[in-house]
Amino acid sequence: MNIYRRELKAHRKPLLIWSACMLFLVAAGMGKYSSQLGTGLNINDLMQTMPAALQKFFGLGVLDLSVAVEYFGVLFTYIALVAAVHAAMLGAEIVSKEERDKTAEFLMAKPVSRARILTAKLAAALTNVLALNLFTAAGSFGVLNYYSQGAPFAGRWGMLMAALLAVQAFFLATGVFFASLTGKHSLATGAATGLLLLLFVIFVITDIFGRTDFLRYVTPFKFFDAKVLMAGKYENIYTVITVLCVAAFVFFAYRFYRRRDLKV
Amino acid sequence: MNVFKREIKAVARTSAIWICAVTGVSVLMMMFYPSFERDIADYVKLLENLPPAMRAIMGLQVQNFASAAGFYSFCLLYALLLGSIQAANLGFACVSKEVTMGTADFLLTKPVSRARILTSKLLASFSVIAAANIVYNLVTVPLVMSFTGGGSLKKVLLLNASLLFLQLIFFASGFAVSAAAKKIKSVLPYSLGLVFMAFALSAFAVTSREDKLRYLTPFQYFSAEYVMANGSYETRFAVLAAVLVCLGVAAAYLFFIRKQIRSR
Repeated sequence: MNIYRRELKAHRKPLLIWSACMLFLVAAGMGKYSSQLGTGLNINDLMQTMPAALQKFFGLGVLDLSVAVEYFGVLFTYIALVAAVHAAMLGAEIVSKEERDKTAEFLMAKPVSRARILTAKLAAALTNVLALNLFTAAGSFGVLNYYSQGAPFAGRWGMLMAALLAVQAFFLATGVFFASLTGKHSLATGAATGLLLLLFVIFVITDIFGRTDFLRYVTPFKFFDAKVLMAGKYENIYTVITVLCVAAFVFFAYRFYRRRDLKV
Repeated sequence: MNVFKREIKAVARTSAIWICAVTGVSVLMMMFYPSFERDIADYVKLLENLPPAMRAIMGLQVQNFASAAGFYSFCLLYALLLGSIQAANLGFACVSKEVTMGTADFLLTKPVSRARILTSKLLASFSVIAAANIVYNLVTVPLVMSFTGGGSLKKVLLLNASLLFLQLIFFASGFAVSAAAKKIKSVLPYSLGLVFMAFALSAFAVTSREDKLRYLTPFQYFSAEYVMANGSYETRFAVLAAVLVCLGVAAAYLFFIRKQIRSR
């Protein structure tokens, strides 16, 4: 419990900064919304006249930009990206910083098992991630409420926020995994960054070129894309893949962290 | 000279990986062009029917997009993203790593003035950025030229130069912070946070050329759309970029020369 509290305190300031940035992103993005955007012609009709490859390129076939919550769906990709960066960095940092700051010996000399230390750190990281998610949820709810003018949005908003949490959990697990695998802080954050960028580039390629359909099972950015979610194209296998990945990363994190030589 | 050489050696491997990633992402995305080109002519007419606001959100201008150079200007965005992260990393780590690694007192007791140390580090970082840009241009220019049949060389060079300028801006901001801050424990959360925030803002919050938000994000300073349409940069943003770089470097000297540096 002490470790958990200590970690929460240590990450309070970064959390506030990330939350402020996130709220700014949401506000700045939705500030451009206007219900006039999509009117004048029926987007879905237009889309159907286009060849499939181009529909995918624009990705607008399922998002009606004159509806506030669907407009928000366009922003969601970038919100998820920023939240993923936060989660991956937090996960890698929270485990590897003891070795970087030379506090590992101090911590390990305490009568707490390594598994419990990792559990406390994971719980603290999860709390942080959840807090960022709630800030984002509250901020976007406020903005959507303002722009929707009575149109229903809560269901799709809730779905997007749940998806955001799933993306965060995935990248948090990768960060913790890499930090548990290697004792070198820069290597852990570097590997987590590399994986994140790789998955993002794969997402961009599947998203706009659309010809590499099997790649959609590779990247969580694709699983929890607003276009997929709002079109009802979500496949249950995405949940399975995410849960399996998170479980595997966390399992191996425990395995490595309990056995590894700590760098002191 | 010794500091310079030491610095180059220290970042050589990481930089080589980054250069490959930055170049690789452009090459990879250009590989999709031939299959796209076949269909594109038919689409152009349809595309022009989209409402302008919608096109702005997707960051695409129809007439630009129909050519190889236009397609490339779109792919470039992701190379810019990676390149900016690389440069921000270099900047944030440049001075702060001596403190984090505990080598600051070793370095500062050498008979070299602080200004000279900073100059050596600055030159080393500039060399790395220059090398990255040379490699990038050597690979992408012939590749894109092979698709355009030799046309639009000037536009492609201007587009590629925006990588250099963005890297300089992000490097200078990181450099200033790194020289001013007491201690930066880990670099990646800062650089990723900064670059991804700017990227997200640029990608969805900016919808028009007059948008004031454009001043906030360097990704808008050398707008590919403007280059494709006019074959030049926007003067006010080019000036702003130059001012930012100079300010960042000057601030770094100002702070670093009089800073209290912690020893272990």
